[in-house]
Amino acid sequence: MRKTVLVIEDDPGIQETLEMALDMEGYEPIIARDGIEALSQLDHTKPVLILLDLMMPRMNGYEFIEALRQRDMFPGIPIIIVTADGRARYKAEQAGAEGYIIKPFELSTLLDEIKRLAQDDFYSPAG
Amino acid sequence: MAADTSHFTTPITLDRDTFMRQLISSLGHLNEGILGSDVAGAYIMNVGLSMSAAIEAEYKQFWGIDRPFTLDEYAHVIVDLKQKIHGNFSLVSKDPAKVVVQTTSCPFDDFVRQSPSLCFMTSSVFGGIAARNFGYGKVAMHKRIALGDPGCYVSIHLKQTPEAEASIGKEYFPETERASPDIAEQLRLMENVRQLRQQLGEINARWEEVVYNAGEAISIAGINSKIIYANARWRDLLGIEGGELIGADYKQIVHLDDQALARQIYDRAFLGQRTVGQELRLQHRDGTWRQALISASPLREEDGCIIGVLNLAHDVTAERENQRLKDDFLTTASHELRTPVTTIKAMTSLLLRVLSKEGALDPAQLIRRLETIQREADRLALLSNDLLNVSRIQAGKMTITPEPHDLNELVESCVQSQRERLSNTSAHSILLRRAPDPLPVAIEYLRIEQVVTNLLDNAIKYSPEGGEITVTTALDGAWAQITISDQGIGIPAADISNLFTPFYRASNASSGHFSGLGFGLYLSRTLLEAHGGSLVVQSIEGQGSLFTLLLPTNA
Repeated sequence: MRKTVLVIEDDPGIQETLEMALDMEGYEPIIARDGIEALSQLDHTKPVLILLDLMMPRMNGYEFIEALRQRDMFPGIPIIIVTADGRARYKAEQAGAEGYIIKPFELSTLLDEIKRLAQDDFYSPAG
Repeated sequence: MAADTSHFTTPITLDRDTFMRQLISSLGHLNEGILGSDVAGAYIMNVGLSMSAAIEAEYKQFWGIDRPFTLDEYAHVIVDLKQKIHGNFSLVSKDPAKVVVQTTSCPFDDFVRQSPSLCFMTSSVFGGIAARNFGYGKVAMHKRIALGDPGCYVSIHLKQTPEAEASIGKEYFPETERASPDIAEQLRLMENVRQLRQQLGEINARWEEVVYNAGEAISIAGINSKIIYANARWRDLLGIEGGELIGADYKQIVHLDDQALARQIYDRAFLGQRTVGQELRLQHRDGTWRQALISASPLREEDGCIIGVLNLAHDVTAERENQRLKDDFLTTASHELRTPVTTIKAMTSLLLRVLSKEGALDPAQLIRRLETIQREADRLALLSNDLLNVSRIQAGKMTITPEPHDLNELVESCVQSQRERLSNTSAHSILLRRAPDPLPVAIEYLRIEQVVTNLLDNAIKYSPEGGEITVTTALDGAWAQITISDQGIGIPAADISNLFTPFYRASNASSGHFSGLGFGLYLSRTLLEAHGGSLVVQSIEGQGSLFTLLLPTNA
């Protein structure tokens, strides 16, 4: 079964790009347009990785991480922050993200990061 | 029965600077009456103290004594002066630990009109004598002094002793047959004071004028950190008249987080150190915060004793706001530019990878991907166009080449392309009510198309899913009118006046993380005005906005 990756991104063009990239690499992409939509997606999907934009309407990336933390789902699912904000690295690390990619990115960089972090299944029983 | 007052005769050497400080710091709420109306108040008091020394010396010489006054002798000086110069002041000593001189009017009213200051000076005369003769002195005004009501008490606190305890209830009256000194010298000194007061007033008036024109808010804080003088420029900075600040503590206007810093500046000044350009937040009367660069320096008397802190506040709120808008703009612009570039770059890489790996791609899918790239490239082109236009406008290089067009057609075409764009991405609907007849206008088509598209974009961007956007066109006298209304988040009332400022974004637009550069409306209004038209907005936060565009008809 294909591993699910949750993409949280408000821009339709980037959504489509990430969706295609994930699909091509053999993952099952699920798209949410902002943090709130992502939280409801998480009620019935179990991604192995989250690609997270920072600047989004309604609930931004940091607020989303905080919401995950409150639901005891973070730390747990690895998060790669994919943002146009080149100065956010420190804040992203502080927030607990495992990966940090600046838009525009090299496709290979993105795919390497995905491959690196989408290894374990957070939801599988230990052992 | 004469009480034993020998315990009051112990001479105590009083450090003059210390006494001055204590005197000023005890003024408290009285600043308004004395120093507030009178920046020279400290000088007046100083003169009062010098006078007290002269008067004291004259009495002592006359009586042939070379020791501190007894309380009895002190009482005599007061009563004697009262008779000689028709003053209304008397010694009240209900509390043996204090000498209380009550001054209910100024005896020099017809001599010098500045009665509050002079009343204060009279008090300083008695206070000074008492302090030198009896010990620690603290001038405390027990009654607020206002013009026309110069009454006050001066209480000189002495040390409490068992002997003092025993003399409770005692009243002091001097032996009136004892001779009194000539007061001509005192009156001469009073005249000097009047002249000094006048000169200081003139200097002050000139100084105030210079400072006012320099555009700086100036204040003086006394030893107790309360403001004892503030010029008229505070009205511009904080919406407060200078006079209203008198008696206020800096804590009342400095931001909580900046108060330690303010304290530091103040303390440094008392150590003789200057502060230049320290930024503090000060609260405006309307509750908003102003950024001000504070410079502070010690205010000294002629002999070098520091009696206050001179503060200059330079308003940098507008500069900081501009800087913030520019920073926000750069962040947003960078985000807006990077987003389409990301798609173009990554999507192209993806297509190359797929094509090189598999050599073929479903044509329908290939077309769809290429369309995405094209759409993002268009977006990038539009954005760079906007950026170019803004820089042209700001450089004053925007020119319009008008040609006759039908505004109805333009609006219809804009609505149509927005509908096409919306059909596969969102649930918004656009309703168009067009005027029955053509709307002839002379416009540069692409510019006005840009304006209408921009306003439609906004209406969609700031509306919830399923929101309805209504566009109307109409002929209104000599004007062709377009209205665009939405049921979106609206614009907070506080933001409306700034809405057309370049790079300004309404608070609910930026906090809601809506993308945007903050120059769409600025650009739109400028373009319309370049056509002789106008753009106005009406909005209620949470309910929606209505934009009305007017262009002169070409009929």
